[in-house]
Amino acid sequence: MSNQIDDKDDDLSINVVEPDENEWKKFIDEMKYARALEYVLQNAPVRAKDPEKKKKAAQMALSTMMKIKTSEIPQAVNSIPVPLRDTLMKYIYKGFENPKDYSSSALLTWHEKVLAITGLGSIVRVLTDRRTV
Amino acid sequence: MTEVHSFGNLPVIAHSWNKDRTQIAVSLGKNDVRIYQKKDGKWRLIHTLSEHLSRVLAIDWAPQSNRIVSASADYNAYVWSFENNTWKQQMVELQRTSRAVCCAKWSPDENKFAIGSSDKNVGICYYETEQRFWAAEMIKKKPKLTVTCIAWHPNNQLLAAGSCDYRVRIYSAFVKTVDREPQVSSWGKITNTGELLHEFQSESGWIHDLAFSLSGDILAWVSHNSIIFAVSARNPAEITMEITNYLPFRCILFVSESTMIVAGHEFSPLIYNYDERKGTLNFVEKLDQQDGVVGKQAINRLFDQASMQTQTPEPVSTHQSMITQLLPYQTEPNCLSKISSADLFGQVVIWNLNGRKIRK
Repeated sequence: MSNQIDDKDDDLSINVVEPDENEWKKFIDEMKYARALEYVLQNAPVRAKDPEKKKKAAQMALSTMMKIKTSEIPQAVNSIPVPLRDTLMKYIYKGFENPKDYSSSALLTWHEKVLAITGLGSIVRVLTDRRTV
Repeated sequence: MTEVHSFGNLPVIAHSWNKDRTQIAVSLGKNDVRIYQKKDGKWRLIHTLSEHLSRVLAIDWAPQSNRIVSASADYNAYVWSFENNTWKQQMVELQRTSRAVCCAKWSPDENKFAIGSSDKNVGICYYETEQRFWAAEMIKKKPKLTVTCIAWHPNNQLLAAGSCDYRVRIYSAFVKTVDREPQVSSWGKITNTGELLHEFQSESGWIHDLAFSLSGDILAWVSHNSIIFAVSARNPAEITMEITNYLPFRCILFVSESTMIVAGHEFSPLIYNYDERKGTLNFVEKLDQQDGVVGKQAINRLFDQASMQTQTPEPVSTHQSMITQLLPYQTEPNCLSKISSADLFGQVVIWNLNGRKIRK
């Protein structure tokens, strides 16, 4: 007896989206960091199978987050639409995986601000969701 | 207002009341079902039903026919009936079950019951009068993983099953030998046993519990990602979902046509309202008005016994551990007026819903 869910009829494998790097760069160049972050979250390749795609998107999301000043974090979190806040939480945890590349203290501030709005529910969803980032 | 009953400090995995609520059957995580009777304000153990070889996972007491069905991790289910002051068991022929039976529930008419098991089976069991045993008809279009919960539609012929494969399915539970005619239902045409009528995909997160509304037109479920889902028979293509800020919910119960109560790792049951026209699920209020700090007391209890004794006690929530089950306790026309909830520290709490914001 296999305990794996068979992915064939699972819609997790279709509808693969990914953020476009040029589009993202445009927002960054215009210094619209919160908008850039929202763009990446909206197009997060959560259904993709290719780890490279996920890595690239994670890099975009996290480097954007690093650009936002600590004092502007609450404002940025508030500007992110509610359904995307769970994806934001996923990227925060992703960032914790690489403490060398992303400052954990900045991520902890992000974590604190997102948690204040979404409650413990978002952490549970990071742990249970199969659509990883 | 709320009555708290304690059955020691073992977890109450499942509980079920008899018809007049003077007796309660509980599974305390052991191999037996214990029946307690209330006498002079105290619960006295009057019967121990010990036949199972492993932990009893589900109990359901049929109020009218006075029979108990128990399901256990030993792959078996038993039906107990009360004769000559003792409880006698009858085995249920679950030939194809090779894993724990996780859930068991009597149908509203009490002429059959359904089970769900870890080996992906959903069975509808009925009494074979000629051969005098409980037969099980297994559903062919099985879920793909453990069946964690089942719920009967009030019309006695539809069954909803939730599973660890993130899906909720509605099956026809019509059995020719006990139900004479298939009825017309709001969820589609009922035909043969085990016909799959609907399949709903949850976002992600295994299903913990599901419930039909009192009329049976709305189905709602909770999953391990702290999301509450609801769908109406009038528009089965549109699933409403509420992404909550709380810890995951383990159980759900409708208290009126559109109001439901959810409970679980969050120690207080929460009231939610489903607005079918707008397609929203709205938080109403916490059932437990003494709002304790979630988890804190439990952590103190585990690690910091000393500080618990020296510090002034903080406001304590009624439940101090995960809520495992919600059951109706007292019904009124069109709504429930009292419900009971069980937790992992051996408590069963009866909540009075009078004066709560419940839409009739």
